[in-house]
Amino acid sequence: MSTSNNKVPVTVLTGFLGSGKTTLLNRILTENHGKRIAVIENEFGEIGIDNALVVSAEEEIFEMNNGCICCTVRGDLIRILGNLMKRRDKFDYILVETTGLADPAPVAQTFFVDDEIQDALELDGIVTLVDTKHVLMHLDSSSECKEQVAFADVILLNKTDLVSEAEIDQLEIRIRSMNAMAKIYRTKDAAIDMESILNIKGFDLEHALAVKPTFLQPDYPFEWAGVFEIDNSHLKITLSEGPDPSMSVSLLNIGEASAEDVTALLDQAVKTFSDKNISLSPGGSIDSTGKLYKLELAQTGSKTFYVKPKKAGKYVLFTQHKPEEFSMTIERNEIEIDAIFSTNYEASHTHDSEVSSVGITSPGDLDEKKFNEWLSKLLREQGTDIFRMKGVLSLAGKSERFVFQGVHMLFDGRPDKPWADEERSNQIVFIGRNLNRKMLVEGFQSCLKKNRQLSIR
Amino acid sequence: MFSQAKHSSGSGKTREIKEWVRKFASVPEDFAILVTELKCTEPGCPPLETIVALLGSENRKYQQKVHLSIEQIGEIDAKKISEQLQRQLENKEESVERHNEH
Repeated sequence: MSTSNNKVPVTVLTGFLGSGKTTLLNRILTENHGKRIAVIENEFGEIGIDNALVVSAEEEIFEMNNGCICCTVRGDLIRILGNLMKRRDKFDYILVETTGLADPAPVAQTFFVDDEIQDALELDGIVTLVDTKHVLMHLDSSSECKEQVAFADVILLNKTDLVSEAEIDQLEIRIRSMNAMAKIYRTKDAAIDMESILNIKGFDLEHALAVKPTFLQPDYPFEWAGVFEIDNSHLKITLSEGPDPSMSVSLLNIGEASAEDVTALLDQAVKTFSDKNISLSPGGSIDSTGKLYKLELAQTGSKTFYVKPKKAGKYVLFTQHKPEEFSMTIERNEIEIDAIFSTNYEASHTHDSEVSSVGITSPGDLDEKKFNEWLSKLLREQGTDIFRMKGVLSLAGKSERFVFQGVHMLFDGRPDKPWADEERSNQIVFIGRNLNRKMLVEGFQSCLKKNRQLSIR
Repeated sequence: MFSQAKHSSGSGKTREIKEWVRKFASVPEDFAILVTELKCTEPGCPPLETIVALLGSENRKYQQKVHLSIEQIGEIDAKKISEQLQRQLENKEESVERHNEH
């Protein structure tokens, strides 16, 4: 079954040796899904299906460059795909299995460099299998392993029967930190529904960001937030000795004592925590909102501070450390009270230090010329480190969304459906190596027509 | 960058160039022909090139660049590209000589 535009969909299977690629391939070939599948397997493939249309590939790399633009494709794939298309009536789906050490970029780029290939074939998605038992040692030492995770539209955390739930949880956090776009499934013996891996439209512009990126909670400069109702009677905060001789805190106005309202204030709180602090000795008062106070806690014994905002209302107190680390208590009229709503912000220590995802969301319109120049420069200078990107943009003066996606320096974009009544906004996700989040955000911000609040993930 | 967006505008011209190359050069049956445009906006770099590559088994590969877009390539250009590729095929050298004329 080919797609509605009559292009043959292609799924690429990647994964380190022993991750279960061949098991998944054999599973796909034996499932009753009604598709006739042609398989391009790596030269060491072990497909056990006799009547499958199977071709062996040799992973021949062909590099093209022009000035700063460099593009690497798989010469053998181009040849094989060309030959396969002469037998177009024999199959309606193509699977490409790569070797364990393959870099997925040349495979992906093969589908975007030649108009004839682009007209006949459609890269549907990259499915990466991960051996949950052994992947950590590869993730630490192999750039190919990281790239296989980073490029994926779907990641199967396979062999879940060989590790504990807690280990898989930790692994998923790390993998999610690398690739915020991929759908992640946990599998045993590569058992997965076919609709989760085939016809997923991972490179289809019409589905750009149809899969909402899942970003891990960033490392915030605070570990706790608590919402309090404060009337004319102020709050008294008492702290004992803790891990630090001081603790930064900030007070912000809040509408309602809800998780959503606190989340909406996170960017503001982060900004406040980057401001110059006001040193506060015991007995001092936190009386302004939007300021960073440094509570001096070096002296022995319990220390008392007061929260005295100028107006009554609901407030959220962000604290650098968790209250229990300083045995913090809060009293109103000498009676100890709890926050109406509170939440912790755990610092995750399982991020991958090299490969990551950066997402930028912003309402407003982009200056097309500025954005063009910024993105061109970015890809020229860092295209080899930007594995994939996707986005939906609101360009000033244009009534339609602009959707795009890219693999390294290859960029594919076009106008999409018009904006309706909803607020015009931009969303971009980058997945890459050594991404400089601050630089990306500032660069993007400089292209906005008006100064808008950014949401950064 | 939007002007560089690489999406297929139809494979007709690409197919025609490939047919010309097969007509003017003795491309072995097992070789695939790749035709692609690369653009670079950096000052000092060629702004646009079309690469015509012959890709054979055992990693045999020959390529010729021309400073024209795919749409601009005519039969005479294709003939010159093919002649260069033919020389590479005969010499079995991977050459990237440029053909600047139009």
